[in-house]
Amino acid sequence: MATYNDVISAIIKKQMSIIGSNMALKSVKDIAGLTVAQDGTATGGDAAKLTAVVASYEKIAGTVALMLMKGAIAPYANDSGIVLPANLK
Amino acid sequence: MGSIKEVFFPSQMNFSNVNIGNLLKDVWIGFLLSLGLGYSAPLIAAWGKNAVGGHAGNLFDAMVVAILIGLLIRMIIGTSKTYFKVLPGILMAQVFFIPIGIIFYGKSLNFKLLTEINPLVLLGLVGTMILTFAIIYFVGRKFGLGEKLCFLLGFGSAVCGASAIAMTSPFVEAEPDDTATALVLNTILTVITTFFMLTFVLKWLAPELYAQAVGFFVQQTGFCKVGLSPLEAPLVKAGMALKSMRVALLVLYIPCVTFILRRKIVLPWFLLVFVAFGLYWTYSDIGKNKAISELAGQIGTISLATVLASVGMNANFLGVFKKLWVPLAVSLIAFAVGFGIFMTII
Repeated sequence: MATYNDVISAIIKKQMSIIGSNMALKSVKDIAGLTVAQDGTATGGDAAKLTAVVASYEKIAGTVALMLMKGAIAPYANDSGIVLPANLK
Repeated sequence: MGSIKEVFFPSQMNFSNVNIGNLLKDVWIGFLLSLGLGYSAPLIAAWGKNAVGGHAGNLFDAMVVAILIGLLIRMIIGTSKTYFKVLPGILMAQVFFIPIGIIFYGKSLNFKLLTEINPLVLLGLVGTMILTFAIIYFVGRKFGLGEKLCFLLGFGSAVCGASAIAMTSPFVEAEPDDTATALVLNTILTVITTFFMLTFVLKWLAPELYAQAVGFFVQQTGFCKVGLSPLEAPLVKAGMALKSMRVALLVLYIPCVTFILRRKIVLPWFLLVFVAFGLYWTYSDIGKNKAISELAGQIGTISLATVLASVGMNANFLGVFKKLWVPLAVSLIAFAVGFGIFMTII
């Protein structure tokens, strides 16, 4: 079963390949309680932090960012343990 | 069915529940900017080629011009408000034009030429490609280069240059700076290898072997033609056949790399259409129609130039040029070893 850390990591790694690691990591570094390694692996994730991560990237690239994030989390989309933010459904 | 979908239709983006109005509002500026640059790049390249003339004029390749203009624009706009305004469209242009560029690149696949390649030469070509890829990967990793950058450099050197890098970067999930570095470096490497071929190897080898050497080692179709230009038409054809085979092997490379990186085989639908397009182009009469041939060539070139311009606009100019030298050394080592083995075997 996937965890919030898996989903958040997948989103951050996708953003790193799209907007570069500097900007992708900088965008989420201020989310309290969330730790992100240089390779994009996240720890300390939960539903609220997932929503915050999604909002950060949506602010950068709008609808396209949402579409990219939906693509990145496709393997976890049907996982019953994960509550996705409304704009990622 | 889910797994079949993932193999043939790997999606970078998920278009479900998307508000089209918002999407268009977000992307139109960056998309049109990317397309405008993709359209201008071949025109600027043609102008430069005529203005400079001779072999040096071939430096004005549409793909090279596209990536450089993209990098320059990004250097000017930096990470200002303008950058964030164009970013969504830049990203969308890549997703939209990569499949179109790849499909029309199928025009470079001449299956009649491929079937004329001597099996032993073909074996040598495949061996050289694998060796080049392996040297770049292992030496590059030893020199501290990132895995994804090594894959891109390997693709660029072993397959067919800038287009191969642009096509494979989404599957490798490379960062924009790495893709731009690989593209700029590949062009520098191609200029060096073409110069080396024309200045030295042309004198050392018999024309048949020289054509093979160019087909084996020179990247980017335009430069391959320059390298082969001193030869008679049948030998130019033989050299280009080898180049065409390197392009065809993209179909195997992409599934191999996605398997190595993600333990997943991905064979996207547009690679299959790329092969189908090449087959149709080779065996139907459509390729003989000059107007259609030119139009198809222009669509392919503009699509790939648009992708490269948008990759450039998404990369950091100074960052790219700062980290160019180690990868260049690694790529030159791979070329030197591969060429040394080629000379020993022949």
